[in-house]
Amino acid sequence: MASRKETILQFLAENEAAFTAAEIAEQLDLDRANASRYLNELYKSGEINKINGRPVRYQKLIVMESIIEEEAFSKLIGSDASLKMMIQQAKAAILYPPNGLHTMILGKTGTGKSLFAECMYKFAVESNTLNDEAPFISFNCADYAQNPQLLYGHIFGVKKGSFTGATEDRDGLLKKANGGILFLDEIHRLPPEGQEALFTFIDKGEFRPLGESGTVTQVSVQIIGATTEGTESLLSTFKRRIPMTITLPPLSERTIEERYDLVTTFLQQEAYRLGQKIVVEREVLSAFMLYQPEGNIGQIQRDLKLVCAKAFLHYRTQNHDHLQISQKDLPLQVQKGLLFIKEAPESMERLIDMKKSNFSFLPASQERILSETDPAADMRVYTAIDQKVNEISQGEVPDNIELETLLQSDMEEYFREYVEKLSMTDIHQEIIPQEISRLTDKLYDVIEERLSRKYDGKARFAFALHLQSMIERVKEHRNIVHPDLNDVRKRYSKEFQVAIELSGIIEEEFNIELPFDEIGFITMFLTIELGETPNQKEHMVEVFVLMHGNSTATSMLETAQELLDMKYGYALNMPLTMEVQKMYEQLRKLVLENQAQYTSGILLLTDMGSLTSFGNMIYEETGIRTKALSMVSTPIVLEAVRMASIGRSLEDIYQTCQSNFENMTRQMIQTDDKKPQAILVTCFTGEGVAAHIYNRIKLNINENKVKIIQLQFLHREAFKKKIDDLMEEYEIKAIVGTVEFNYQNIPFFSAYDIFENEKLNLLRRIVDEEVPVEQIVSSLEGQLVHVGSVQKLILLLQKMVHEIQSQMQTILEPGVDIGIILHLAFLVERLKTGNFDRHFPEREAYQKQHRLEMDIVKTAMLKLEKEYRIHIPTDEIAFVVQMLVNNQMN
Amino acid sequence: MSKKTIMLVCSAGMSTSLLVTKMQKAAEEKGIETDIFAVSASEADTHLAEKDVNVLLLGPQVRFMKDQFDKKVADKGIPVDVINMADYGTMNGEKVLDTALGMIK
Repeated sequence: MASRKETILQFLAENEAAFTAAEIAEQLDLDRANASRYLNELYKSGEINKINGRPVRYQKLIVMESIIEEEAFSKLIGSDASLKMMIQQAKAAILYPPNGLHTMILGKTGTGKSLFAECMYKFAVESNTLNDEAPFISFNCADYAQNPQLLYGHIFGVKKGSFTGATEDRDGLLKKANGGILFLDEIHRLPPEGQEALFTFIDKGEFRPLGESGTVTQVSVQIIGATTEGTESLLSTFKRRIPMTITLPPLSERTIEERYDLVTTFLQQEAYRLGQKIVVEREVLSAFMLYQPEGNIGQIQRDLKLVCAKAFLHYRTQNHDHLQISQKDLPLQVQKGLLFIKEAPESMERLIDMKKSNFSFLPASQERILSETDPAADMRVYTAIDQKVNEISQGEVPDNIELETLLQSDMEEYFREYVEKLSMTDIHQEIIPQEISRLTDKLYDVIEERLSRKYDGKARFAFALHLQSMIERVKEHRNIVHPDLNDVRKRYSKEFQVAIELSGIIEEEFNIELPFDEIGFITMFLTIELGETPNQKEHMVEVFVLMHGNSTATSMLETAQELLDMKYGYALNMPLTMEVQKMYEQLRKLVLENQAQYTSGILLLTDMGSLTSFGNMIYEETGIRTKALSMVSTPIVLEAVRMASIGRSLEDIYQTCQSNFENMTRQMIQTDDKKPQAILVTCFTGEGVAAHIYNRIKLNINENKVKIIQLQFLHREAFKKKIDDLMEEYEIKAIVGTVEFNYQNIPFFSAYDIFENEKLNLLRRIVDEEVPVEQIVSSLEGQLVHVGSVQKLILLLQKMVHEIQSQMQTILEPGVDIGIILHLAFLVERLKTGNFDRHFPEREAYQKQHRLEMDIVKTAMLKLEKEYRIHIPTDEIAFVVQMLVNNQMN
Repeated sequence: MSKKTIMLVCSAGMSTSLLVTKMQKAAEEKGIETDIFAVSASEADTHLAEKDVNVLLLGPQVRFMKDQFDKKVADKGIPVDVINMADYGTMNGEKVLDTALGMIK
């Protein structure tokens, strides 16, 4: 029998080509079934190659030694053991004449498929199958999996006009890979039409770009596909159509020597990258060699990276001279490896010297670094820690506070801030893709059941946003470190368990793997209570409006309240007949009655005279911090009430209102040195949500005049500093972002706002080019003589016209607001000097038709009437309404 | 060059009257003979009937009346436009005058 097998082997060795079982049976005059069996046995013993297809073909092994001294695969760990056969197959696939065989690499996540494909390319170059310049293009089909059309276009190219936005012909990856290798990772994510097109290419060497119906394109490209072992039916399709299949072994099938090599090589690499000695305890090495990571080699790599990052944090903050990794630093799952130490093969002892307790890795050489695209080469984790440490150590840190602890608590604070701010802002559904919001709901079903706790919409929303960026992050292999991971795990073990369960769902849904740090973050989302805004009431400053006159205070406050749509603040009127003493008693009584509520202080807004001195008196009698502002006008009441109602501090409100007042005069002086205008667009990453916002507003803003700056928002204080810097250079007209942010009186727009036309218009109006107030004022010089300060009037009118527009949710044709402002200025002047009597044609009917607008304008005019003690006739209000209504944009 | 008649229209004829003064001053300096006046929207028709208006300018706040006036004066061939907002905001008589004269065919 052996002789027949030998005959077959001999026959194949003498031929270059591949043969089917039937052909060999015929050639050698054998029974076909027997020939088939022998061939199979020969293949299994590794003596010949098998090429999948219909029918299956067999071929002699390509004998490497005769070709070159090859290096490409030799650096792969296990190249002479677990991977030996796969490397043989890979070499055959590359060398197969004329252009190599299209190949499928199968293997669980983290078994090194991408690296293996890269090695195949390197081998192709080394063996002169491909020239040095031949392209190697690597693409992960999961990247565009949500958009089949885009994915198809990316691979096969796009014909101009095939869809909106396809403004020109675009080459696909296949074209770009001409003469080389195209590596398609996660090939099972290709949509059916993409698969079909790919198979057509494999069979015929030709394809059609998206939207191309006529000519076909021909290129010479070797395809290497990779997939985790998916469903049987999918796999069999690929196996049938792609001739060569190479299956990489999971970690459990690797030898203990290979495990040792893997762990030590990674440590060696990290030492090299950091330029620093890494010392590990023996237990650490043992644990890494014995634990059972589901994510195979990839996970070992990530777990080691995490451990090194922690060691690096320690090293940087404690000023050690090397990185030290102890057993206690290991993630729980890795530590569990030590449980298997009794069953560990004896060779463990040979590999790890049991007498030594520490093992050092010096940054000497880099010999095993294989992949240029190795995600582990990412140094961002270290850079981030580094920056943080520098940032903090440059500030003043008391000696008795440990930097490391500070960093960790900083992390926690950052996280808390993140969640709270997120939930305050609302964002349009379109920002959150449907699949994410669906997943969020699904996850919360699990969470609420497991933890028997309820989470509100805000919590869900914040989590959805986090999920979205997390998934992007993980897909792009951007690591995020959670320095408090162990603590979180211990303290919130129940939530952590649920988070692990959730991560399973997320991983399955998106075909990604979540590092433990991400799970740590998810845990924190489950622990943070996002109920009603807690104890905000006691932190609020109370605002009292005190004015001379029967109802001045009341109406000023009411105007503000109406404009802000809230009830906040107290008004105290002082009729001219009332004695000052009585007024003071009223205030004092009110304050004493509610003393407990005023722990954050009181702000008194007054007009003039003795009322202003009440501040000190109240403070001395009650001990409640009290500030008083005099010469207050409605805009200041408005601002004070607004700020107090959102919980700003007394000092903050006081300063702002005061500077508002100063601004009015300063604006007069400011002249030509106008800074360029800018809008800031922000989110946590500076690239995610901010990019959405940017795309939305850039269509509405003239970028030649207004610069749109995208910024990352991580920490509030750091962000303020950034704004300060930018303000040196720009006049910042607005901030648009995910986190509500009030600073320097820069108008803030949430992402939600920006996706509403009305708010977008407001933004547009804010950045509209304005005629400087001082120019308007100076042109009116000598014309308005009964209104006092012209500039004050114009500023008031300007603000009023803006407010009316917001209230009416309308945007006017450019210039109309200036027209109205001037019209009103003259109207005030005229009314101050006497009556102005003209009739709006058919006013009553018009009034009925525009009741809402009439109301808004009338309310806004109240301020003007109070301020200038005039009465504006209804006819005039109707004229203004007409200017507003008829001059709307579109 | 014959006398140019420029009519400015705004809601009440108040704010434009200041502009008129400034335009007149500018015309005087240039030595151009003009008749410039401001009226409220409701008075406009009467003036159009009485006077031989060469050009009609609208205050920005009554921009919406442009279509209406375009139709009214179409047969007379009087050019109509809205005053530039920057010129209006700064009451720039000279520039508005230049614009107006430029509009006369």
